[in-house]
Amino acid sequence: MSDIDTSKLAYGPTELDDHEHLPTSTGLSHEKLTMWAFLGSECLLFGALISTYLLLRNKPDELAIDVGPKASDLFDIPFTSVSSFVLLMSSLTMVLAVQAIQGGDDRQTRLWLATTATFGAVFIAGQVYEFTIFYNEGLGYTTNISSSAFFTLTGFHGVHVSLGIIMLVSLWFMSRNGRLTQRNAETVEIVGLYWHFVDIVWIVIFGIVYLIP
Amino acid sequence: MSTDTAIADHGTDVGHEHEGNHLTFNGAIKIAAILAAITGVETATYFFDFGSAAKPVILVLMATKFLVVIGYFMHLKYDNKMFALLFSIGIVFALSVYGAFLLTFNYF
Repeated sequence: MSDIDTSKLAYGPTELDDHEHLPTSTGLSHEKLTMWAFLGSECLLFGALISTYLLLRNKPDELAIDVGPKASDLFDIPFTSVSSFVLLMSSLTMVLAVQAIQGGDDRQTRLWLATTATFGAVFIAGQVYEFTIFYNEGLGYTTNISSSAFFTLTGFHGVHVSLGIIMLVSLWFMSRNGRLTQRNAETVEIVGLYWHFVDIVWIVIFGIVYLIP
Repeated sequence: MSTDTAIADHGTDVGHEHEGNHLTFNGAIKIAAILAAITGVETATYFFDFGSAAKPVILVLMATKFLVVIGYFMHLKYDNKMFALLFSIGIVFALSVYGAFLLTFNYF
């Protein structure tokens, strides 16, 4: 039997089964459904950016203010591989954070949330370093059409990662203030979905943009 | 029964979010190790000449990592199929539209 005070639920007093089945029209969490629908729409955003880059990456001399090098000429694959690994491991720590809060362990939840945010920050720092190198080598945002496409794609991804870090830090503070408990485990799960999506977008970008010759 | 995924049968209620399986701590670590190994092989394509096989190898490895993260870390393998449907609509739509876009401009 559930020991949750049903009078405090958003849906009002209700009979809950042993698995706390939500009394929504679908039987599913609408917050989670919304996040999945949002992530589906994000596929269209990143699909547009990736396909635009693919089309323009071999055309640096078209619509060029200053032709400059191609992004692919400046890639440091070993460095970017390490960045990719860091982001991949952040997905693991995010899973551990979700498991921790589902198990009611607030301390472990904060540990793994902080670790995930830290890994994300390390990834962003790596991106900033990489972009600085590119700029110093003569590849800026407006150098040529290829560079514009590259920086738009990776910049949008970087912004998504940064927003994810903000959400993770917010969850950490909520947990510390006692506002994030086992009852709110789904909140962490939903933020986790966003974080994993950001990771799989990078999996695609790393493969298509950096590795494929 | 696998020791890496704890299997708890929650019944077969229609519309129930979790269909009974979830990833344990050890399971998550193993999945992460597999993903790291795949990343290593992807990176190896930079250091070693895979010839004409480089592109398909990278694409296959990339797709594998994509599906593993979605299935296990995002829990889609164990969750209600409605979530997978919503996400799949986005993926299929994106692949169709942008595949047509690239075809239009003779990318392939």
